Amino acid sequence: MTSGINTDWAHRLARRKRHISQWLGILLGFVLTATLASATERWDIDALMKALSRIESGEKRYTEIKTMALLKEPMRLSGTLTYRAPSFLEKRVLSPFEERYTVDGDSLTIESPAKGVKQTLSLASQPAIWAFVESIRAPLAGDLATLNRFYKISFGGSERNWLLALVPTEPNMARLVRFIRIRGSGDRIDRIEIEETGGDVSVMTIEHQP
Amino acid sequence: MRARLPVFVWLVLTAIGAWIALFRTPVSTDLTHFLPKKAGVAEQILVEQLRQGVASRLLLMALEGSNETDLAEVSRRLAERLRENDSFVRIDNGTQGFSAADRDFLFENRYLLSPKVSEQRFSAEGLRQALAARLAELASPAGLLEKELLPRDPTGEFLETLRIWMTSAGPSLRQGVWFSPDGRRALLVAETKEPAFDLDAQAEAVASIRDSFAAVKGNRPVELLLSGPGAFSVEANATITRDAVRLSLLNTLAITLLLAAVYRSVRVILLGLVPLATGALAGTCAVSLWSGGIHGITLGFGATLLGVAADYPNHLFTHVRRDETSRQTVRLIWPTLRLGILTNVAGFAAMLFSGFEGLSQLGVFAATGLLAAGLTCRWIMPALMPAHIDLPGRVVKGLHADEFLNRMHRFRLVPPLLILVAIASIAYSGVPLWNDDIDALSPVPESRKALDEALRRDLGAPDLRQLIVVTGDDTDTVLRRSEHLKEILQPLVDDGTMAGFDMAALYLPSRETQRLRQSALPEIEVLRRNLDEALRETSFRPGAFEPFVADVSQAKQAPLLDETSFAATSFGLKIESLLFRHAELWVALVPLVGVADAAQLEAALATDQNLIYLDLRDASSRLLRDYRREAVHLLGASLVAIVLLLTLGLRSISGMLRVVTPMAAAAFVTAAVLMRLHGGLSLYHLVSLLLVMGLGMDQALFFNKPSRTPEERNRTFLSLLICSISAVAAFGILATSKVNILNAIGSTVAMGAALAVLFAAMLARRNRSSA
Repeated sequence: MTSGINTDWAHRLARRKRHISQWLGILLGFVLTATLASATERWDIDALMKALSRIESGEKRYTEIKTMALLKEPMRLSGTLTYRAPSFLEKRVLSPFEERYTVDGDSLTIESPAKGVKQTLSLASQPAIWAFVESIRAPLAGDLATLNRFYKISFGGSERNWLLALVPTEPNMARLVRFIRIRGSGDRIDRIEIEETGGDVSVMTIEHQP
Repeated sequence: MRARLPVFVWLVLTAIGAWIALFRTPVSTDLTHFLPKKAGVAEQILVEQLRQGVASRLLLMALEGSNETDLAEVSRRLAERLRENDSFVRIDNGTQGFSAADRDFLFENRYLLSPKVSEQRFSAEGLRQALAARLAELASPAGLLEKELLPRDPTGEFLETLRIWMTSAGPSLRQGVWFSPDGRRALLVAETKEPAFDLDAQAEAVASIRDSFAAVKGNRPVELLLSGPGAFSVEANATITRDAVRLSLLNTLAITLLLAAVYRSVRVILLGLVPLATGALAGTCAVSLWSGGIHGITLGFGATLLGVAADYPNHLFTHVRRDETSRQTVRLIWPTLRLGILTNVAGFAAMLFSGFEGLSQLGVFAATGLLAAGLTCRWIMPALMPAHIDLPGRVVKGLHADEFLNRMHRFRLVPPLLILVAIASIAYSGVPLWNDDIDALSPVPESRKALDEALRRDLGAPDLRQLIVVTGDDTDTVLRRSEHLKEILQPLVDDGTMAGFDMAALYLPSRETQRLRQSALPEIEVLRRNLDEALRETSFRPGAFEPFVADVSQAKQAPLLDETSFAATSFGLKIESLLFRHAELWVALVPLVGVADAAQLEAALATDQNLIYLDLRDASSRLLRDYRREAVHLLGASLVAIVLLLTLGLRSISGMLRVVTPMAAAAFVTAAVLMRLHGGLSLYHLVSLLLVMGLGMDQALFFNKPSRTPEERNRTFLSLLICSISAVAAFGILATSKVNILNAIGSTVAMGAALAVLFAAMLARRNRSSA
């Protein structure tokens, strides 16, 4: 009994420590950026956006792990992500089932071959979904203005290991999602973590090796 | 003193009349006056719908002329601005989903409202399938949105209830707002608080839309198109008023010039208006006292019919000789005038027996008005007139009426022959004489109607043209019958005979259906057992769906919903417009979209007399036809009365024929010509023909008036010339209007009046003495 509580406690402590260290990292990043800005080449949000905006297109494999209170064990999904500047993004789920989400400009198309569903909707009419889409698409496009429209942004880390933290300001989105953290290196996005208000967490890892 | 008495009485009566007309006479535009007094439920509902149904309160807006981004932006801003305006109960452009209250309502009542609720759905197998489907949804990014409700609604009933409301969600979205399929127009719909017939309120609504548009448009090259019954009536009213004012100014000018040339006296010209004005006042008061108010259409048509009275003072003025007082003159012409007035009054009196309130009002107005105008001419005018009216001698002497009439006499067989030709022409034209299409009366131009149709199609808005009326003693009966009707209609939609339908029962199931759904929900122990079994094979945590179990057991006891349950939601409005009380009955409207085969549909409904199929356009045209038919029948009756009166009054059949023939010839020839030109005569033409007949009869009577001297005959001839020239000029000017109502009345009367005087001259009695 006691050991159970202890483990739990230790676990939470460890998690909190990790959080603290992350935030310390961000803080440190800010301090470093601020002090080194004049001396070396600047690496700030503008530099990141500029670097990202130079990428015209790309296709990457990803894996996504969703941990939910409703489920006995985390759910693991994998597939591909395709981007074409300035506004085309496709998320294709290949396993455990096939599904395809395509965003192009204002329209979102959902295709599910298994269910025989193909549905197109306007992002502008679905603010929460729009905000969600822009959490990935706006960084890929290097579009800081759009990002600012939906999120409060914090940025930190070095060029080799940066962290972009987004806290939703769009009310419908804010009701569902606590924050989104995007990690990367240079002009590469490596990992996207989403923590929902209910405590469920989803972590997407993007593979850069072919 | 004795001479002044009639004037005194007249002044008092005029004052009382003016008071009644101004303060005690509501002018209505209520279409129910044009319903037969024994109208059926369907007709009453038809008129009610036309008057204040939802369709009559919709204003359709389209924005065009710029790129998609501009249009979407203006649409959003315009909608935002209009939503703050009290004139509208609803502004829709696709941006507004359901409110929190709406969603809560549907969610709380999902087990009563979802059409998918069945025993099978809550069995172990049903739940297993549902859970598998939910798991797949959780994996998708959109699952984020649904996860919140998942523990309470694993079978997805909420989505099913939402789906019912979403299918009627309207046109396609671009940049979050409604657009036409080709993307060229952004679309908006406004529902006004006041019905279309409330012109002031509609004008205000239209103005506030235009103002708001101007304010939000900025310098974008966007244009606003506005349509819908309210916009139409505002626009039509503005055009008619503008045209009527402009043309009557022209009329007044033309006729004043004519009269000034003849009488050369302002006093006389002004006096000429007295009988007409007195008649109009008397007509208004009589109708007001008789039926407690007057209809706008009665006022308009009635004033047209009173046009005959404009001739009376001319007869009087022209006959005043140098050595005569006006009192002597009036006694001289009074017998002829009296006969003319009496026959006209007798003609209009027939309308009193009409089954249509509107038609009998018209009869009362015209009969009383003419009588009052005639009496004014006889008793009041002489007292007000100058002792002598000096007509230029040249004018009187230079007319040579006798010679002219003698020459015209050669054509005496022309009018009767023309009657036969006109009748033959009408009979063999191959088209019906009367055009009873309600659209023929509408002053809305074709291009605007086409735009309206295009917008409605793009919006997917039912135009409420075709609908089924379901009646019953209470709401639940009506809902049950609607559900039964749905069984008939759905197959028609599925096989493409019909594009779709809407009904209250889709949103509010009958109590019977709700009870069935409630009883399909399992008891709590059964549900828990089924759920446990279903959960065993999934990766959902056991116990994750306890809220669902609680909700179902609560729903099993929940009170059933009725039409009042929706009151606090935005659905209330829709339900109210589709399900309402009409007198003792409850009525559900089922608007139909795109009916390909009305006959087949009617046949399918024939078995149940509580279901009435209604085509608003057909039904209103039918009403119009009945109205027109009755008018024509009564006209026949009044002709008999006129013939009798004339025979008695003139004491000779040939005299009667001399009067009736030109009148009939003018009416028939005009009708035949106009029918060829317009492909059928409308109600406007009919009313105008009545005036033509009145004028024709009056003129024929004067042509046949016994006269003592050639000079007197010249005076009579002058009087008739003035009368017919002014009628032709006045109505000819009206005929230049582009508004169909003014154009129809103008062209009919101008042509008819010209023909009437011509024919009357051909048949005038010859005076041997002067030959």
